[in-house]
Amino acid sequence: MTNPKRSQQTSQKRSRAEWISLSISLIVLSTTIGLILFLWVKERQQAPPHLLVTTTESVRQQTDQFYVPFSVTNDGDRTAESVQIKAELIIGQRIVATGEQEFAFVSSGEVRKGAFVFDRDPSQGSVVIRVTGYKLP
Amino acid sequence: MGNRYGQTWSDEIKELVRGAAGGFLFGVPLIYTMEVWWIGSSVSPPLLLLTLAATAVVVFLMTRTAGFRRTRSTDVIDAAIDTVEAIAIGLVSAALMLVLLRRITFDTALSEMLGKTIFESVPFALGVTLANQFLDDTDSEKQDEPEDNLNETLTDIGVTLVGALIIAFNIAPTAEVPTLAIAISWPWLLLVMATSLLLSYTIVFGACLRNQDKRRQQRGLFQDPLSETIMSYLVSLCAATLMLCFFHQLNFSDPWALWLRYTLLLGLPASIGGAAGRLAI
Repeated sequence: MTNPKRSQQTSQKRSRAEWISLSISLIVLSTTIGLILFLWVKERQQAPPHLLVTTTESVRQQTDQFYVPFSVTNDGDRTAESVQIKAELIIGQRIVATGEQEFAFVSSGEVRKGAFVFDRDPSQGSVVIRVTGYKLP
Repeated sequence: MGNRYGQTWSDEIKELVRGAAGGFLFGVPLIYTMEVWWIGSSVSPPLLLLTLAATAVVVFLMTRTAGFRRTRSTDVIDAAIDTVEAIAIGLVSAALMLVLLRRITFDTALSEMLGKTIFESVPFALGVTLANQFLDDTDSEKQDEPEDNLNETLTDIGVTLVGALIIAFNIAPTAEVPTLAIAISWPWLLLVMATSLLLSYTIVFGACLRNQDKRRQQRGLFQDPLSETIMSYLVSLCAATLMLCFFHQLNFSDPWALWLRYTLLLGLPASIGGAAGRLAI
């Protein structure tokens, strides 16, 4: 089935405007395909996710709670899914509080930020924040 | 330049805008689906190529019966060319929406950017291809004389409300609006507002779509294209707020800023639903 309105003008030549929009479309499509192929080739030499936790920002206190900011960076090449982060507040060689968080995805080179909230002052002891696991998509 | 060959620049732009309008009608609701963001974030390059290829086949077949152009035949070469253009419009439209909603930022990895854009572009490309089928103004010349002004205004408000409610009803109960609200700053929300108005105007008045001539002839309260677009946007925002309250996403104890943020975000797809509703009459 064809659109009758369209078939009335079968003999029409393509205008310059149409050629330009086709050229732009081809550039968009070929760039997209080119980038996919680039990622495909790169994927074959990809290293697994390498997740680093850093706590460079200082702890801030609001009312009676202490916020410990952290960031997770994926230095590997592959995306990590369901990245589990665990924090332990240790005071006097005893774990007095724990917290857990999950990031749905951390792509290669991506930095995700968050904070753990404790009722006790972390400066009285130490906070250990680490990645406990992830899934490969 | 322009008249020497087939289409003038103005015709060409109108056709591309018509295609994009069809794309936004179909694509925007899927933009508010976080599972698609996730799948797009982690999918492998071969699957991305397969997705593009499958989209191209479907779009090619649909282009032979519908398409977004009205001035050429549907022979194989023209259909293939229209397919390339429909997919490109879909990719660009999806990428723009993902940037607007902060799903793609400067921090987003290339693989994630590509995956999200390609997956989200599928309904946009299908919408571009269906633009003529659903949005063609073939029958507009046969329309009856305009009704009286008040009735037209009330009908417009009614159909906008119904269209906006249908879309908002589907999105409001999900976690997408709160998730998007977290990432979007106030200046970006102004952009969301401007985009909602622009898309609503383009779909109803800017793309030579269904009943446009009749709509332009209408006179009276809120019947001028600009005021009708603004009125319809306000109605869509009301529909969005109503649905957010209905699904307990907003409570009276929440701060007004949260109300505004959620409403403007859901107002984008709702205003497109409202525009679709006005096209239906």
